[in-house]
Amino acid sequence: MMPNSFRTSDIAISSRVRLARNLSEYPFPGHMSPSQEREVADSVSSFLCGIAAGTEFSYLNLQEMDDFSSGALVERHIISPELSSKKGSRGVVLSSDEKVGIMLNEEDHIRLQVLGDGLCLGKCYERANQIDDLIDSHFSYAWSENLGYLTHCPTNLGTGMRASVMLHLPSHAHLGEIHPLIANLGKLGFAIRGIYGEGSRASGSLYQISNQITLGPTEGESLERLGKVALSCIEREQELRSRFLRDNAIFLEDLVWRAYGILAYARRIHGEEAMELISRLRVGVSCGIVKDISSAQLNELSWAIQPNNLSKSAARALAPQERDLLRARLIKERLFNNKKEA
Amino acid sequence: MLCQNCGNHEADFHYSSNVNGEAREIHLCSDCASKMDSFPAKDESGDYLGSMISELLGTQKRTPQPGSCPFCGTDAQSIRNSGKVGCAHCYDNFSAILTPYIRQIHGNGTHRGKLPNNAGESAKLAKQLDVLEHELRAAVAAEEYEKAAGIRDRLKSLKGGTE
Repeated sequence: MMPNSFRTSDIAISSRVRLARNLSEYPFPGHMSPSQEREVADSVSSFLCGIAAGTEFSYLNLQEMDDFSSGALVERHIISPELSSKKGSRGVVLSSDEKVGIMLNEEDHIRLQVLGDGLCLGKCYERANQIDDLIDSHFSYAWSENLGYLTHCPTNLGTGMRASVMLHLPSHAHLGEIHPLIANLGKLGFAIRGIYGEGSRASGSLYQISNQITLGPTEGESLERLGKVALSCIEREQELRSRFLRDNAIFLEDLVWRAYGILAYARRIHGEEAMELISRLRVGVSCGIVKDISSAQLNELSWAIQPNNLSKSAARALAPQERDLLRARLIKERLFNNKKEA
Repeated sequence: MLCQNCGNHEADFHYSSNVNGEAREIHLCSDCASKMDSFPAKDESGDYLGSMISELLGTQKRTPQPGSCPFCGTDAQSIRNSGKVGCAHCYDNFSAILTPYIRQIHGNGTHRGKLPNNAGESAKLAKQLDVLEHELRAAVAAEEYEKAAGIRDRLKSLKGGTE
């Protein structure tokens, strides 16, 4: 029996809250001497790794990391592409559950990020705020009464908080509703981007919605507004899926099972194709068409099949053709391991 | 080449540095060079090398160019080009350039969010008043008049404390 309504967690993949902070006594990254960069990275990382914050932190020094390992962190949304590609003393303090990442010497001295599953902006902020208080108790932040937390780029002034929700919007994409959505959200002070943030294209119909205004509204007000916007996108996606299911169920089932078939039996598969087929499978799971695969499995798989994560699992840099073979094998193992071999 | 500071005398002091790919040059006459407090001083051997090295390593204050931020050396042109500042002090030093830009991004708002530990007392009080005013509006909207009266009293006493 197919559901008439879809769970929010099938559409809202993850939430993220990021706080930008700078230490008052140093110029911003890119304007520091190498010794100052080292001081910032060393002092903040050793403080965080030495405190008892209800979670254990460890420091990953990006200067000592090979390209595909740092690229793998980018694909898992633990660090930004900017932190991975820049030079100098930099790294990320990572919690044992990998939900908290504190990037050091990215665009700002400190970029504290908390990730969560589904739509959970409040919880993410609560955890970010606690860690922010801990850092604030030991270091002096760059701050002004009118402009709030002072950041390298004026777009982050004020709260320094960028919150985002990653949504799976295949019906919007299929029915051409993404462009109107981008325009409408822009007017309301929100941005909608592809899976890897600024400048990235949508892959597997995954989109990130984030707040743009950081100076003026409080953290609570921004989170509340973003939560409402995300919910309205989720409701619209639910409505479109229900309509699709009602008017064209056989077409939808066909799309889903074809995706299932290719993913189960392909011997090599390109990343873009895999993401598109996983997107169809997600719809199948949310509609109750596919019952033996969970959304959580698909979330995990979405980053595991990215180029750098494949190289990391092979412990060497793989050529594109090698990745396509490994990707197909990994999908088979993760999703169809216990099923009858073709 | 004329001195960048006074523009009257021939520059006989030339200083250049490149920190993190950021190249900076200064050309001054000896009079102006000797007047600049934070300029790398001549050491006993009469050369500037030791001072330059310590400056490059960040152990001494950066040399400001005329019109540049004395803390980080960023100038107005680089802010215009990149849309980004070099340090917290740039927000004060280049407020004429940055204020219209900030308004364009965020509108006319001022910060109403979280405060750090080092925020001044006046900012902490303003924050308390903002929170209470917000609660007051919510209480009135919900027709919780008793609660609203209590909030109004607290607001009055806080504001009284500032007079």
